Amino acid sequence: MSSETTSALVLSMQVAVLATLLNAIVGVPLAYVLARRRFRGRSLVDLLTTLPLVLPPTVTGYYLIVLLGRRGWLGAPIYQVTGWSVAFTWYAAVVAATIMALPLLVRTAKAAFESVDRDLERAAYTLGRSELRTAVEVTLPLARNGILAGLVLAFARALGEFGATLMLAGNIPGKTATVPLAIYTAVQTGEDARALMLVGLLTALSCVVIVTANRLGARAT
Amino acid sequence: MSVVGAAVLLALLGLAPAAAASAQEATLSVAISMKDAVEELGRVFVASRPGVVLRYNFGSSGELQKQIEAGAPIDLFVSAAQRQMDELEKKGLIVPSTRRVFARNVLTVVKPIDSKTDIATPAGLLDARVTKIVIGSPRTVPVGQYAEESLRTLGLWERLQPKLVYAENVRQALDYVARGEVDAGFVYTTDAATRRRQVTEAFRPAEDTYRPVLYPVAVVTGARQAALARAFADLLTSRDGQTVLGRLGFLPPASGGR
Amino acid sequence: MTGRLEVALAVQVPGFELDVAWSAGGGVAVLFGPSGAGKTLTLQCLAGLVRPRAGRIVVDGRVFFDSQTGVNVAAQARRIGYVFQGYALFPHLTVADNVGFGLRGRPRAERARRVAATLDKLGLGDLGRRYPRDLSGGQRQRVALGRALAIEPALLLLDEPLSALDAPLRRALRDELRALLSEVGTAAVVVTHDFTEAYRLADRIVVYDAGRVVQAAPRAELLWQPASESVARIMGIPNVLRGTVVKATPDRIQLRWRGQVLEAVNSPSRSYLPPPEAPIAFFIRPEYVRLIRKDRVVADVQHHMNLMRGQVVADEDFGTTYTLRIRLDDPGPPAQGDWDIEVEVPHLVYEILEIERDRHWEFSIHRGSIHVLPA
Repeated sequence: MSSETTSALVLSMQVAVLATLLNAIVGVPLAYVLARRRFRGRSLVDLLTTLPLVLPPTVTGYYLIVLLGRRGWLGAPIYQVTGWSVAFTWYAAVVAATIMALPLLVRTAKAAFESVDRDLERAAYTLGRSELRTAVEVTLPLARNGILAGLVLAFARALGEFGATLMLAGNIPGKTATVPLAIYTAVQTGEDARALMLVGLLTALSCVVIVTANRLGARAT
Repeated sequence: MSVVGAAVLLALLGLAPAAAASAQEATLSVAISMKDAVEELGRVFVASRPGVVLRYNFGSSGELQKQIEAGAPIDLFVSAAQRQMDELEKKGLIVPSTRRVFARNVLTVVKPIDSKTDIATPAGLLDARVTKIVIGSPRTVPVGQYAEESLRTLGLWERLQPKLVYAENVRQALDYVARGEVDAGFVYTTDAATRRRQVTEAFRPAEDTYRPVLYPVAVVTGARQAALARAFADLLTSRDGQTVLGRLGFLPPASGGR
Repeated sequence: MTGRLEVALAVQVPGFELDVAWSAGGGVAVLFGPSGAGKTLTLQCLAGLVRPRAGRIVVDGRVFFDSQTGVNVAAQARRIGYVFQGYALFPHLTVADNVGFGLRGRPRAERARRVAATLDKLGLGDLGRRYPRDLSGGQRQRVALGRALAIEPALLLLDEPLSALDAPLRRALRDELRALLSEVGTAAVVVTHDFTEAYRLADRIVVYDAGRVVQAAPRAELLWQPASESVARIMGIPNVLRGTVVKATPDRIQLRWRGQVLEAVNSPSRSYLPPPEAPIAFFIRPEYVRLIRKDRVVADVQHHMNLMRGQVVADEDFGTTYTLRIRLDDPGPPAQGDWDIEVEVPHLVYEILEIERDRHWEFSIHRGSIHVLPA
């Protein structure tokens, strides 16, 4: 395995793990709020978190550049102050992977939370637990398997992310070239052996992910 | 499948071959830096040939070469470098007798129009304020290959590595500069001219630091519209063709171009 | 006994409006009525899980809710034990952890002690380590009770505590529950749609119908003096009939029904004096109709009040009793389908009188067994 292949693999794993972590931190509470609370703008939030699932990745990638590029709404002030932009760095790959995988996690986790009997939460309230502690001590453990299945799916999606990554992070070998991007390059340059190896690795990894997700899904009550 | 669905599907399938049969249609794979020139000449070409339709396939030369190798039904190939044409000729995928060079281009380094960084010479790229430089992906994109060659010759390649960002073709590289995502980029002078309001030329690397940017054209082996393809290639080398190319900033082929 | 309760609630949920006011002086108050009448919603308001639009809730002198002063104590702070329909046991916690769930704030040793004591009291002693899924329905009910009792609540709420259980278990647990409630002495509010259950458990019954309270009374009063025809129907009382007033005095009401002139006692809780010819509803308890034995002397009007004659047109065997449906000899359409009056006789009587064979009977009803239902 060449160093470029290794770096693509390592990069892909780093990006996917980090993206999944970010999704867990942001997505699980978000899913809880969407599942349990009514608030104004709820349908809008729901829509926004579902959009990356439905839009072509290149479209999402375009929105990310508009938002985070050097002249972007968020990117510009950051660039002015720090002289740094997220585009063309491996953080961009993480951002793209996180956004693309978020809907998978949020939808799955939301369904998992909704499946928890609300009377259980009410019982906890009458026994003195605050809403937050109830969410942590009662709702979360009971939704756990569904959430884990969602995280596994998010991981798989992050691993295979291509379109948005290409637009925001570019395809820089050793820096932002994740396995899917490396496969693309290998095919473009006619390096069939390398392409095959990368494809094989990604397929194997995806199979492991699917099997794990199924096992967890089956155990969810 | 419902009856309506089947009918719609058949209609869609039926349309494609019908369209090809009715008109004389030639497909040209063209290096993207030649886009404007070819489109303009194409209009001239079909104006005097009723019933003829030209379809363009734009991309980086490396990309286009791979497609022809994979059997894409292309009639004519215009490349931005000799290397890609050489590879196809080696594999017998182009008709050697039709191969000729019809234009030349010059490399330049552009920066965003509102850039405050002064990059007057190649060494200027080493400035700390220049954090990102875009070139075409050196593996497949000619403008990237020329840029690498030039930077190596100038002894700057190793030192600039960390700043480099790769684009899939020269127009994408230009776009990055125009949008301000990078501080500088290697494109052709002809490309820089298309975005005059967003980019400005910083400097041009000395022409002896890279091999000449030559545009070969050739008819693809087994082309269905070989005659049309040949005719278009002739147009490129004709006086009218050369006039249009010159107006768009291309240089005539240096002597001895094949 | 603790826990005087004062409840006044106005709540609006999509498609339903609740507007009730009642009070109870400690002991067990039962909210009784058909499904969907607002009983569970009331419990949720009492527990602080639902906020009423307006009203006042006072438990044992503590104001939990008052829309006028803006008081609304959070559910977490009310110290109310709630046994949910379906029990809502935490499936991921052991029985012991379930029971001790509300005791978080206390030192570990004390918590363990209280949990053990509660498990013991409810006969769950050796089930502490088990999980709810391993328990029977009756055991789960007791765990739910234990969890609510462990926090030493000021008020206990039980929502259909017995409906999830099968019939034989229900009877046994019903009596156990009654004993437990009186032993523990905590004020309780129980919701049920079964009248027998309500009667057995209650000191006071509050009858709900379509979001309103139609009667609140000690249980005996409800049994003998349903406030109106609709309450009688909710209770499932048979023989709810309609006649016409002949004459009404504070003690007695004479009424005309199916060609008979019957005499009933007036409702003692209110002086009901409808004018002659006014319509009047009344009911006759089926088990208080006396069939007159044919080997006795001829029926004597002085001795036997409200004497009537009729034909048994249907009978049903309920194991220990028979329910007879009698159609009066008088011409005219019968009052309830193709019969007039339902009569309940013990099995023994049915056999001795050979009712299976002999279908025509005279019967009498004491005036005290005909109950008028004020409009």
